[in-house]
Amino acid sequence: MSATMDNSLASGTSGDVEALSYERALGELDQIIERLERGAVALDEAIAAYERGARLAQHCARLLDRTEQKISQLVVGAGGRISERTFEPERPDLEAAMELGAPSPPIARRLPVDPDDIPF
Amino acid sequence: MVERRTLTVAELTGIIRGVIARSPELEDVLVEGEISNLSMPASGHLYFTLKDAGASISCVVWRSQRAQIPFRPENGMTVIVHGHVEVYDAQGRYQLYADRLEPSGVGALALAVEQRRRALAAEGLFDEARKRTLPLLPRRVVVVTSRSGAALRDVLTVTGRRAPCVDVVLSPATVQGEGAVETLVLALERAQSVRGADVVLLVRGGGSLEDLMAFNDERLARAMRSSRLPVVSGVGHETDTTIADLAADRRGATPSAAAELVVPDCRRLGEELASRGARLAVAARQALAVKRAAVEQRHARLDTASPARRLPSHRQELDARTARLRSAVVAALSVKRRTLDGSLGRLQLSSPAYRLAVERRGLQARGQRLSDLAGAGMRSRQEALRGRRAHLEALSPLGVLERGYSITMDDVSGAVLTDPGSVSAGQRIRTRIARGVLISRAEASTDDHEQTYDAPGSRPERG
Repeated sequence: MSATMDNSLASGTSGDVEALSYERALGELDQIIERLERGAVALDEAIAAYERGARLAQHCARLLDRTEQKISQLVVGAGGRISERTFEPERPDLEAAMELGAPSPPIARRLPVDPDDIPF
Repeated sequence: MVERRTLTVAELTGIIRGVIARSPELEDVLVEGEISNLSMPASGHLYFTLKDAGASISCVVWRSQRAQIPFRPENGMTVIVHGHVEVYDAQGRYQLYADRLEPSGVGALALAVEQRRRALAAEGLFDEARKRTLPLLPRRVVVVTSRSGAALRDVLTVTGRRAPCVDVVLSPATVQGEGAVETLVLALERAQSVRGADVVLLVRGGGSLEDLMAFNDERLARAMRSSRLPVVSGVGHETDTTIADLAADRRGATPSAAAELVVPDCRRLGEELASRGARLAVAARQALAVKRAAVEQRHARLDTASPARRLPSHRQELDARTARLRSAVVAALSVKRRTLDGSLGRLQLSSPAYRLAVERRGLQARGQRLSDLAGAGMRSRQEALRGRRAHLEALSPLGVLERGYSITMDDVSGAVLTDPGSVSAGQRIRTRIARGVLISRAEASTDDHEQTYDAPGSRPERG
């Protein structure tokens, strides 16, 4: 059990999960799973770890669940100011490709964990 | 001796220069040979000797012509030189003044790229250690490419299919021709400041080596290495490897392949996430089960070790000890008592009370003897008394019974019955007659004496 992991668990509130990148969240989730699997956790810590793990999984699922890709283009305005503007590419084949993917239920709903539901 | 005009060296050299200058085949020559004695002084001009197996010729490339040569000549390199032959007066020799140099066998452009690649590699620009890892799931991808190219379309197809959760920002650039390098470098710089961006895709569709030359430029390679965000390249077709590809953190063979490196397949990620979620739940449940088992095991041990469980044996032991204590006390007491009894016995024997008793017994014996002696005198008088008593008895009620009278009594209380009203029918009565007792049951009773005397045993009778 490393000290950094203890810190990450100690500061584990639901707020900071939202700010994590996908791989950070996934990495922490893996650490939590491994720790729980090794069984080297105190009881209250195990419950806190599960809750955080469930939050991390939910966060990852939310990151994956967006289905509408935003496409924009950088434009240089007066005085060299760079801004973004919606970009409409000519992409008949792109739309066809997107329709290929059958709509699947949101990943969040398929997750077997829920931070409010402790499985014990 | 014929008078002959003597020439100056300059005049002779001038004649030779003229001969050479007037030879059309020396004005526009293509000659192949190996470079040696290459020198590049500060002046910027280029000097070398071109030689083959049997001959050599000095060559000069003026600084103004050097820009036309894309690659850097090197000793030992076989080249095809284009130029004209002229005489260099000061040293008295003819030289080849080159205006074009081509490496023989391979194209000049390709050679130039190869040479630049080697130089940048030596500098460490392509070192694996400098490559950055890509985010697993980027939030926004900046694509540096032409606004109208097929490469952008390919990228959008891949990102739309694999990762609709990832946004794409186009940082437009010109990808070939005049000024392409500058726009690519600028577009890459602008990509750095895009909010939320975490990776850059540098792509261009296939083309000739000339078309791709902007991606072989050293300035672009350096701009890529100094990028804050990791850069993934995808230039041309599978067979093209540009310097940009080598400088990139990851290289895709085509724009589509590069896009696949940058965005994950979100559906697969979702499946992996779901399996992790399941593992999390199982692991948590298991961790708790281990805790619970530990608690139960300790509970059982605690139970075994509990004082309550050992109480019965304690109690038994206590009982045994109490019994032992008691018998020990009893034994000790009886020993003491026996000792005491012995002492008391001896004490008694020697006590005045004992002697008193002894004396008393002696006295009694004497009293007895005295009364015995007195008794003998009494006996005759007693016999006389007995005669009189017999006489008296003959007069007693019992004497009356001998004559046929009887006495009737309540069988239970023994009270003498005198009133027939005190006897109820069926009551047991006892009748005393001279030589015994009759037990009978009353059948009826009357107040007076008018009843028959048939059964004298049951007749109420006054004693």
